[in-house]
Amino acid sequence: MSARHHESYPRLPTSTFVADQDRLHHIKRIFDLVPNALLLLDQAGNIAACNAAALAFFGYSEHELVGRDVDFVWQATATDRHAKPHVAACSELLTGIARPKNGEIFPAALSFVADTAAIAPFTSAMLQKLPRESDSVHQVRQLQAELAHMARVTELGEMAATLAHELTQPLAAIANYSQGCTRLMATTGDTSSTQVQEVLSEITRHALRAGDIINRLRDFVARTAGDKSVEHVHQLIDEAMEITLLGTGSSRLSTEYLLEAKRDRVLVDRIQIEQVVMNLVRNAVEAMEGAQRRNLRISTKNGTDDTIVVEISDTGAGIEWDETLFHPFVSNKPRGIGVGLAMSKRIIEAHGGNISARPGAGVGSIFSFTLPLLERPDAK
Amino acid sequence: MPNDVIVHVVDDDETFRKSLTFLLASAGYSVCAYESALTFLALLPLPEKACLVTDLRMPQINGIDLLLRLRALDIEIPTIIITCHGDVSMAVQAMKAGAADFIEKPFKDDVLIRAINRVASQGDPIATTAERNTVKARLRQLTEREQQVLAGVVEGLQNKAIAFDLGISARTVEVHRANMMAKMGAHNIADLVRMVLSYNGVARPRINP
Repeated sequence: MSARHHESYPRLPTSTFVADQDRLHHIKRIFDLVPNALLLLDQAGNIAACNAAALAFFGYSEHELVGRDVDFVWQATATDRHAKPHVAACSELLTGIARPKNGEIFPAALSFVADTAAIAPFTSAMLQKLPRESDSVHQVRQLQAELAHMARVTELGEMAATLAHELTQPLAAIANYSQGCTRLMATTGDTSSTQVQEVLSEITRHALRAGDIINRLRDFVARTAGDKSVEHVHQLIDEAMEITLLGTGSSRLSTEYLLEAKRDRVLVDRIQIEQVVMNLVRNAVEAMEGAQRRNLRISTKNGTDDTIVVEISDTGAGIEWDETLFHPFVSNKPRGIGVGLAMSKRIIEAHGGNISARPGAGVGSIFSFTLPLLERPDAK
Repeated sequence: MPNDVIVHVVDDDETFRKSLTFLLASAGYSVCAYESALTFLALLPLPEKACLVTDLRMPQINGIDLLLRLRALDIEIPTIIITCHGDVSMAVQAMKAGAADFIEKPFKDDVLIRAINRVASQGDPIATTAERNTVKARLRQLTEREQQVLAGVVEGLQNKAIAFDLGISARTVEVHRANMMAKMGAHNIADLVRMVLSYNGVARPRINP
């Protein structure tokens, strides 16, 4: 479009001086308002004029550019060297390197339009910024990383399915043995065996629980619908806490419950939601290892949009905040593999909720998730 | 509680087979264990008062095939199928092939022992008349939709498939399903299938030879 203006520039009708001036002014305005950098080159290839975009682009003032060879701000890349841009036949696009005043060179193409029929032949050149090679390389690397990541996630899924199958057998065997032992001890009637029996029933409980988790994991990986049931979030929190705080040295840990939500009925896969709570609580406890004050707080409240919000906050060292926090294979823990939070996110989102994290007031961090409430349980 | 019932265990996994043998022995049963359906079949016929506990997935002859062979030989032995989680549709097939009950791994000992005692002492699968009446009463409490969802679940269909068949959303199926499970007093699908099949009598080989 701009080329058309320049073509007509020398052929302006000269009916009256005022009209001419008006017209020139108008064309100059358009020339300046074009968002692309434009250079007008004379027959020798020197810059005769440039628009505002070109000045902004190269960072030079007009008097610094006018009269200079075009090479001053732009050079064709090696393969195009043979072509002298200002003698380009009619219209040609040449790639090259732009050299602005600040020294930050970048790839740019110039498209030349020569008007040899004009009274004073000239060439207009429009500059087009090209994506940097490093930009493309960066993009390619990012895509590669994403692909590799997806491959790992798929691999992990397959691995989990196999693991689930392989682990069920020994877990079932553990459960069988411990239950058999419990029965044997009960029949011998040895009173000193009470403690052992208690331990055995704990072993059974944990083996069965692990079996449950593995079965749910298999459902989860296979993306089949888990068994959803109507549950009370507060009850799930209680159950999850009971299991998590076993063996965490909870004596030095103070736990505060602020379960204030009035409504907590949800339709969820119980084991999955408990997994999320356990995971967040375990993270919180681990974050407080070695901390002076070890305060774990679990609170619930009802959100405005018929949801329940569960918050787990700790007084630990806090974590590094960035958007990759919930990505798989990103971990702030020395031995973490970075699956816990990603898994939690998937679980919560599959239930129609959200999970997020933020720094605590002064110390620690707060993880929170929401779940949609089940309103009318008998809704048809 | 000592028992005169001999429990025959068929499972190809040695770890599980041994542990199950130990558990049943500690509960007072006489146990014979076999690593394959063929070794078990080779010992037939069995003395009175026997009960079979078999794995579902095994190489060569699986649990369902074993049940079919027993039926072909006209041997009636109350059979409990041990399944892995997620084998519901296979478990339903096994029930239809004549299994008296099925239990998911890993399990509580009480669940298995109760099942063995029930099927072995009565020679009748799963439910007493009283239990069948309970199931009947629960089934009556279901809405029409809930009954439709139940039918789909028992066939081993996914929520999505049930939703498609009924022309409703998967989320609605989930709600109906949760309510149906609660009304039936079923802890899991295995529980539900057991109840429904005991009520319908589909599972019983004598009725459906």
